[in-house]
Amino acid sequence: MTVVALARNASLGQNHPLSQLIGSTGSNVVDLKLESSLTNDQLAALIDAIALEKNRDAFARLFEHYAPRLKAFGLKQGVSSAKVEELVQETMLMVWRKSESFDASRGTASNWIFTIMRNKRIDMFRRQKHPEYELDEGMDIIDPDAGPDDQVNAFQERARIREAVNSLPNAQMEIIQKAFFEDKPHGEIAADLDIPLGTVKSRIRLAMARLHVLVEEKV
Amino acid sequence: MITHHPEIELLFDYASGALPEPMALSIACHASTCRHCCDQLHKLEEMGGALLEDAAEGGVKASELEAVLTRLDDVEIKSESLPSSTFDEATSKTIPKPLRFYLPGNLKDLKWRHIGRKVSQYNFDIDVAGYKVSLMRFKAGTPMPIHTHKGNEATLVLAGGYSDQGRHFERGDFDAKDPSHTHQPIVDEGEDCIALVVIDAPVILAGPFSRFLNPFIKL
Repeated sequence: MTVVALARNASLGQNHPLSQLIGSTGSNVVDLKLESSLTNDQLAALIDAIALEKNRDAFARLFEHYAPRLKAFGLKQGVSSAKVEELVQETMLMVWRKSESFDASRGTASNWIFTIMRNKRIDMFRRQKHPEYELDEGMDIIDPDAGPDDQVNAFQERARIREAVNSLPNAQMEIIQKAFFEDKPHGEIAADLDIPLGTVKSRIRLAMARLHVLVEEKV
Repeated sequence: MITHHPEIELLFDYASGALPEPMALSIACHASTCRHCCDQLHKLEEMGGALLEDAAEGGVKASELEAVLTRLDDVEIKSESLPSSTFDEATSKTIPKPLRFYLPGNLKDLKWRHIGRKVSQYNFDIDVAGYKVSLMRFKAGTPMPIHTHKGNEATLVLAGGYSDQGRHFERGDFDAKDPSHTHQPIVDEGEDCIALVVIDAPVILAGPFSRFLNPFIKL
């Protein structure tokens, strides 16, 4: 029996918009074919279901998708196997509690959950906060060079960023992996790879520019 | 209008989680008033989302989901949000949201330490070794003292403005300086300048080898 089946509490009707995603009520068979192919929209819909109706089935489905990934990610970051379960649990608990703050126009579900895990990890292992940001429309100093149109484009872009990240040249990918998996600031990455600081900076810039181009090409 | 932004590598370090809390705070404050950097950060964090989505799956036991499910209804103990209504208008107009969590009261009620007649300073209680985070207030129309830095200095202008070596900084602008800078900024007329200043002071060793070690120590 799958974890979703275990978690099912028989509350979802056949016609519920999520029944396709998390299987129909009363059945012990969960369509695991969906497992590896959940789209960004489906993942976002699961988070919305948690935000709107505290839907536990949606949470279980989301857990099934993300918990194994969060665990692998944590292990890559050097979190001990003893602690990584706690990190995964705490992260998913925050997903449940903060679901209202998920904003699909700001980024993908994976982006949002990555930031929750990042902040949790810093809190647990570094005993520091990682202050969050959110564009404050009420502040009177909004940078005027980007308008609402850019926001729409930015949203369309994001679904393709994952693909674009995977096609980055090795030299750029290496820096991204060192930063995100090894938790190293750019200065330390330069020392590690024995390359000048300026090279790290330019590779970050190139990666950003390339992501932008790769994403644009596919629009 | 914001014309001075943090370098892309600082945004990159924020996104990966490699920045210490004081610097992450400064970046979060800038981003909450700058649409451009907000968007850059979303994109950089999307790199983390892509890496998470692609993380090889670690085995997760059904009991782990059950453990989280039983905790979903636990009441969250600490509240992470602080209503802005607890601050007066002058304070909430000046202090970006991420910084409000650290502020014990209104600007006028803070324990300002006076440095001469024209400068006052409020030190935040952020306990991260090697860092000092403060609000600085400079009287309108006066030159600041000529100074150099022992470490790196990141200044975020929150009110008023100043000119420094031919460049002008105003509300929302981010100004990073390393120890090679000797400067004497001149505060604009008309309004006091308030800035969030983060300094990372290098460790100074007093032992017999300090002369040899110091050049290699970097925080």
